Amino acid sequence: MEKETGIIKQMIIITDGKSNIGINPVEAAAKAKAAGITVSAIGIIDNECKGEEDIMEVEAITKAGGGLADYCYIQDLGMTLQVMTQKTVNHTLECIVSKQLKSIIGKDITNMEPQSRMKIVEFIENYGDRVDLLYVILLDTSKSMANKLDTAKKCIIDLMEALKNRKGVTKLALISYPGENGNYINTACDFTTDTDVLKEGLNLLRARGGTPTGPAIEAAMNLIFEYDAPASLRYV
Amino acid sequence: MYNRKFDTVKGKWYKNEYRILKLLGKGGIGEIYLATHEKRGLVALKLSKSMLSITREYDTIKKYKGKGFAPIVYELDDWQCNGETYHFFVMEYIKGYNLAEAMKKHMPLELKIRIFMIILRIIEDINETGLIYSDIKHENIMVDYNNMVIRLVDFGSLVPIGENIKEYTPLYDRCSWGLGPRVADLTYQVFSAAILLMTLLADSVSLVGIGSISSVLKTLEKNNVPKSLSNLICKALKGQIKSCHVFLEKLKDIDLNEKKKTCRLNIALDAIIASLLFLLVAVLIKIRHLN
Ligand SMILES: Nc1ncnc2c1ncn2[C@@H]1O[C@H](COP(=O)(O)OP(=O)(O)O)[C@@H](O)[C@H]1O
Repeated sequence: MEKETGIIKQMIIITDGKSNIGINPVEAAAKAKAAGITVSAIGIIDNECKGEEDIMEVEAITKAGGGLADYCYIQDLGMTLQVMTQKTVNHTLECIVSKQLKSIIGKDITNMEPQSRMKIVEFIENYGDRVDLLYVILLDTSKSMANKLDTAKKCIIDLMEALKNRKGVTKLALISYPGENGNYINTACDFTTDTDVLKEGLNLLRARGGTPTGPAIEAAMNLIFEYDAPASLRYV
Repeated sequence: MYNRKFDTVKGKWYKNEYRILKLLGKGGIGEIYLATHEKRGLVALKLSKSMLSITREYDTIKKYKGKGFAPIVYELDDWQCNGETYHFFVMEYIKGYNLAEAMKKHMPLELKIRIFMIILRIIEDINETGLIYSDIKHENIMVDYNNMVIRLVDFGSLVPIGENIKEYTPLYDRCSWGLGPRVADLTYQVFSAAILLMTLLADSVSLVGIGSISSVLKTLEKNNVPKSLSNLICKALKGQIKSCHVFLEKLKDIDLNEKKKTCRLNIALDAIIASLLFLLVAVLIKIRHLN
């Protein structure tokens, strides 16, 4: 906490349905969390109201992944994605700070009197804007996403632009799932700060096939490990 | 977000009990309930799982203690329920309508401008404390018609000038219109205020969509908004008005009766022409008589 170094690693899943191929996404999310990567998800709701099961899965994945869950209509995805990004960073920091407090003074934030938490809230918010961020977006490109994909692409580009206003460096990668030729996933774009590189990756995406959410989470983990190998043991 | 049924929220630290009466509203952060407390009476209780948001908002509202536009806040506490910890703060329950509901009744132009000027003055006050109110929309503005008092209810979106906007509604967001960055500055504030004014003038939020300056002009024209007023709104959207203070000064200079005056002028002209015609006819008749 005294030295302001470190990287936050997080992934956000954008999906409109329940996973149906490959390893269980809840297990994959738990693995990611154990490796210091936060897993959050945004469930896109349709007018033809989706079943409880889809929502249950989003809740279960994010619970196991230590992240946040939110739901929105496709037309609100842009704002939801941006709010969620920042909230997740702060949420992750809150968990880290809380753990540190516990080891230093033997109690975490919720065991401090509410009135005295403001200083910590300020610290987290400030630091949340300055900390570097490795960020993978997992975009569901299964068949049901066909009529939503263009909007989703635009939202991701907007997010990239907005992230440039952060004081810390943000590197964004994009994994789409399913991939081509029977592959579970497709690395549409490796970590970058360049919007044009991201656009190129997005341009190629088409909606088709099933929803291998679990394998996509694993792939995102690997992408982060590869990028961050020497520092993978270094948490904030 | 949480579909639970419960009837009492009990504070973990200060032990106050609040009986929940009904849901007042739902937002990005959490839920607002109408509740009763045996000493405080009717109160509004904002409940959320996010410690950061609740603590931050409580602190922000407290900053405006004594300013009439903010609700009084009573306390900040935690509530434990089924093994989960929730955070909440309790504030004064504000009776009345929010602006969205108030707009359902027809308002004359003068009243709309008067209400808007009060809102601008409040925003100016907030801006002077170094903060930007980014999410200034109808649902967050409560109107007390009888006293002509305006109160704000949602202080979760306030950010220091120079920082990134945290919460926004696309319609009021300069960046969504492609007219500037999503950064908290005074012209961002002027932009969102100008959109608010536009929706007031159009008598509807849904009739105003994200578009271009020319689509704005069209909407305003359709609603018979005086030219000088629509010009001012366009300037505000383009970032040519530096602060809400300047916006307010310019608004005061606008003559709302501009339209009516031209009308009056037309009537006067018509009257003159009519009397001239009458005279002409009279003279003609006279001449004929003479013949
Ligand atoms: N103190 C209050 N008194 C009366 N109604 C309130 C009060 N606070 C909020 N509300 C109602 O609840 C709605 C949602 O509150 P808001 O603070 O905007 O939630 P959020 O921050 O989660 O969006 C408002 O539109 C308003 O109608």
